[in-house]
Amino acid sequence: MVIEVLYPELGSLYGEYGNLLYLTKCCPKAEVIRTNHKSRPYFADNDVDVILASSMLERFQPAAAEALRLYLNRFRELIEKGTVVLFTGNTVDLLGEYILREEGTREEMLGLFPYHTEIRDKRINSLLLGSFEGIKVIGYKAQNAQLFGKIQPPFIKLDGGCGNNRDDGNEGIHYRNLFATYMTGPLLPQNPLLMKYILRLLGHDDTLAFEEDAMVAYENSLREYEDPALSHDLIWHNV
Amino acid sequence: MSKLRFAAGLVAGRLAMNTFRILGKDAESDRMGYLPVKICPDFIAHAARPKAVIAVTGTNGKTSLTNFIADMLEASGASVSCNRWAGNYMGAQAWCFLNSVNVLNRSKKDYIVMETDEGDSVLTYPLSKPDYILINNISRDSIFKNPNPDFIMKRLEKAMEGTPDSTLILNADDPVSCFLKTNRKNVYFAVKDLGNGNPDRIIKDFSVCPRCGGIPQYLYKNYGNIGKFVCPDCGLTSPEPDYFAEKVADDHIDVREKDGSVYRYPIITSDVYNVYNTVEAVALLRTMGFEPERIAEYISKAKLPVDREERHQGRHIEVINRSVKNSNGAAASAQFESLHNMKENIALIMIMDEITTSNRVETITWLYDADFEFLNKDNIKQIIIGGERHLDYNLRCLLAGIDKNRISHCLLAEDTVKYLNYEGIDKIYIFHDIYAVELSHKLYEQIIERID
Repeated sequence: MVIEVLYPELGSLYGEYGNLLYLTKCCPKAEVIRTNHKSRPYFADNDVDVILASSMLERFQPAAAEALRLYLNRFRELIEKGTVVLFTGNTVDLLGEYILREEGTREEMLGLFPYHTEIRDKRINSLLLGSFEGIKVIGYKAQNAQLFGKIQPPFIKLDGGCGNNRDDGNEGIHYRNLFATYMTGPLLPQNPLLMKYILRLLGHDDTLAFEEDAMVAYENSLREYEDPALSHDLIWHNV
Repeated sequence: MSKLRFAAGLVAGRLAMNTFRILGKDAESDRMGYLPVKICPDFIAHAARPKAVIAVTGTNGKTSLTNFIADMLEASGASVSCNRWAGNYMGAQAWCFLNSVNVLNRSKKDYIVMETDEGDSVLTYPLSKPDYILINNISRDSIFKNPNPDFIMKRLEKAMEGTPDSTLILNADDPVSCFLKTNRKNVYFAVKDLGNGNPDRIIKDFSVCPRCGGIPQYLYKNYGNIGKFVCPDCGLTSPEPDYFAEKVADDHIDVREKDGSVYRYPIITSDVYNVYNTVEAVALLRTMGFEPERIAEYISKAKLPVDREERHQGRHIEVINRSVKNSNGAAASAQFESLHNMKENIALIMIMDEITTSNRVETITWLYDADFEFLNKDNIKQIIIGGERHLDYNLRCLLAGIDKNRISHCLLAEDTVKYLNYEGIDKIYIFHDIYAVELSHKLYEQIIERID
């Protein structure tokens, strides 16, 4: 199995390293290839099993989009072929049409899906509770951005927290085996059932590393997230 | 109107402060500082100024450095108003001013030395207009507060626009904050290669050249992102320091100044963070005009603040109670690395949940920014985790490769001591969140009772 991590020098925020860590613990024989934005991706010339990209500083987004645009057709081909792609945090913006910055400037993105991103002056910190194919998903969102347009097919149906924008009851995109979500942090260690789902997509044994410990932690958190007394909206403050 | 509001805020604030002191209650708090601010929002701007206002900011190490500088200035015979308790928002800063004036708004202190939140600087610096601003380092902090370096730098740069006359003292070895746009000549400090290799960390807050987008190379790293770098594509490199620790020994450092002269200063401990703090404090006091000999004398009278660390040597075991910031992967990694570098057998208790929050499920993003992998070492015999998020810590430790048999965890932080196995242990560390001082001290005393 080959896992390609795109642009780790640009995207290493908010503990999303946890996703790669858990994948490699569950698939100890996997080869991990880290590709910086100045280099030709491994996937350009080879098949890979997983492509990961993680939250980055906003000023890095244009460079990341430009780097990936050079190999867009091949990237699209791999998505259509069913390669597992996980884009978390603000890498979701790269897959849309453009980003509209707070000051009104527009940055063109890859246009793989017909939505765009608007950067607003309020930061959203939100716990997220939702479901995907019968799996309860929990996580966390921290963003100045909101998505607008046709954000489909959806990844997670919300039960609590903020979705693609303040009025949307869905979060992220799930197309073939591409998962894109503004949820940040260790999504896979925090959601062992989702990790199992992905392992099955990969044709891998779905026994998790430290499965019992991961499940106990997940069930404990899920109880907290499902507590009616919990406010999923956390702190809002101006940038 | 503004003057009236200020007078009302001052009288109310001084009255409350004096009453609390007479009654023996805690008069040193953010809350005390917020009282005049509620009455007069720009209270700080109206308060009389002492000889100099010194603001300390940055992601990590602010409290230690603030206390260290205050100690040094007090050792010089000066009177100092300082928020020593680690509060660093508007209230704590207003407290420094309230404490430094009398009810007639006459300054009664020589200096204000205040710890300031880097994100809040945009609100506070234009009011306090510090004479000196020291920035230790900038990296990501709690995802709630100052989540990434750009977020913080934008705020600091806005703050600089409101403080055109402040002298900036910057860390040339921090490739993030050294590029703060200040529109003035800055004073830089740096430390030689301490020979720590190039320790890899999960957090990489400086991985792209800010000038050309290239991949910068470190000539050396002393910790985290801190070190000297060069960009192979455009040649951008760390600024030349005005104060450079060219020799670091166990009990002293030699600091070379820009004119080539070298002065020797004692150091309290030779750990890398204290070395940086000492050089930074030297850079400040030299810029203020103090003589090197006097500075050396003041350093020897300074001490580390008790609520950051306390130690006790028992008959066979030493116990160390240390404050470690919650939700900050860089701060936690630094502490984990310090344990990793030890040879003694260690037991570690972690009570690092942010216990002051309520009705909130704490996020665990930072657990995967922190290098728990440093704790995966044979001489770290026990890791005991207490608090609401103990199950998440447990999984993180397991994913770091730590043997399950070395990990204990429980919901109640108070119970952690019960899991200690003292046999063969040389040092017991308690890492606690900055708001868990009281609880951790209770555990510390329980352990002392057992090991004495």
